[in-house]
Amino acid sequence: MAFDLAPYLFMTFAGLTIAAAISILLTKEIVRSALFLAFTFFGVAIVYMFLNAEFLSLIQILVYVGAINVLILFGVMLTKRKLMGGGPCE
Amino acid sequence: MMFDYSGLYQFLYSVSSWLLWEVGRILGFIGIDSGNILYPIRQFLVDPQFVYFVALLLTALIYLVAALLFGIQFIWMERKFLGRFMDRRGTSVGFLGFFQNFADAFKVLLKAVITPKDADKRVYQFAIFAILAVSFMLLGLVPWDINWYAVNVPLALLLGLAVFSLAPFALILAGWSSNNKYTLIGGIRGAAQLIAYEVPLLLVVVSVIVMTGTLNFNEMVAWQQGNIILFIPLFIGALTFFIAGVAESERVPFDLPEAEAELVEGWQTEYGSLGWGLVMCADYLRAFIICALFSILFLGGWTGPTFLPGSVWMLAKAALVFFFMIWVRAAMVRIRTDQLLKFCWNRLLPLAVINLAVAVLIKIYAVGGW
Repeated sequence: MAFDLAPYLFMTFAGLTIAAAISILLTKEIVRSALFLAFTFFGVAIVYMFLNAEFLSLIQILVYVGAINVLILFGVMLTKRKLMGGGPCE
Repeated sequence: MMFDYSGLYQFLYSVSSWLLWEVGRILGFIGIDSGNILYPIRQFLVDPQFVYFVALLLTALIYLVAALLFGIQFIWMERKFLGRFMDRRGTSVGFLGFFQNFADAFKVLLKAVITPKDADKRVYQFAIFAILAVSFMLLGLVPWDINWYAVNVPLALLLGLAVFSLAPFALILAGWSSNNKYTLIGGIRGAAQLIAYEVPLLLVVVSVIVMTGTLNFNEMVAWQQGNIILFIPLFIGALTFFIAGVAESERVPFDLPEAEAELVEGWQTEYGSLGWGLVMCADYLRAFIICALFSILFLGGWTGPTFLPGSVWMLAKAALVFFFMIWVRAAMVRIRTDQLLKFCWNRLLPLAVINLAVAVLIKIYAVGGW
């Protein structure tokens, strides 16, 4: 059972992070882009965890996912939604 | 079979090794000799790593059930105490009204699942899973006794706060994806409030870290056992933490995100059935986690006279803090948004900074320097 999973897990999470980063650009709906941006930040935090930088990883989650991303969502919510071709805002 | 009660993992390890042994015995794997073709399966069942894996699964299952039961129990506690505060009896189905919440849970379970037609369905479902996941994950981060914990990492406090800070994001997504102006306003209010009140909360936590010099819950409690419970020197901070915690768990007087008279039910308006029930449960769980954090940071956690086990002291202290939350709910009225933000930035933030200065001064002059 002496089977080291760490490289495979690292590759999985790195791949997911890159996929999320590409999805930011490919998504039409801007709120979904923000959601994928959160996934990307989260994936970067997990990659930090694999690099034995636990503190940096937790600060990444606390600051980027917890604060920066919400700031971006506020920015999206407080501007007009018509811009991307969606329905008119309420 | 004797079980080892010295800690959660030791206990679950002995339980799962017993369980696997019994499964193997019933299926007839244990008795076979090494020449048999099924012998690797027998070896697999008694392999320590596999037993540990089963113990991990059992831990996750126990924490999920415990989270739901905690939620139901604290809803009961709040209903009962609110009833007494308002001079009535509260729930009265079953023993002390305890079965009312189980009845409500089954009622919620049996309702039809309805997704709004114009909602962004993926995000709508993702948001509720995110809220539930971050709330239930918090329960696993809080230790209940010196050996009863699910995870015990050096940066436990920071991990807890990082998980706590994910909630506003999920809230605003839930509000947006329901495609309803009330949920959107509720989600934005909720996220703004949670982000604003995180600042004094984190500053108070920093003062505790300055005093104890660690981020690990076990070492914090050990420091308080060796010196003094931090409620006494950091009284201002404890008060600030309590108020910010009430705001973080969206309870009266800070329940603007779900102000019924203006916003129906806030960001959870469009959620029905089991989803809404679980979110309700998670709300109470978050409030309870704040209480548990308060009792670890300021009241010495599982410290107490030894005629009761430490976990009972921990639960009793958390329940006491929760009682104060209920008291605040019974005594206060909802405040306005501008009052909410002014209260945070003009009152709580200076108090938190003063508390940090007090902690640094005590650390330098009383505890014995750096």
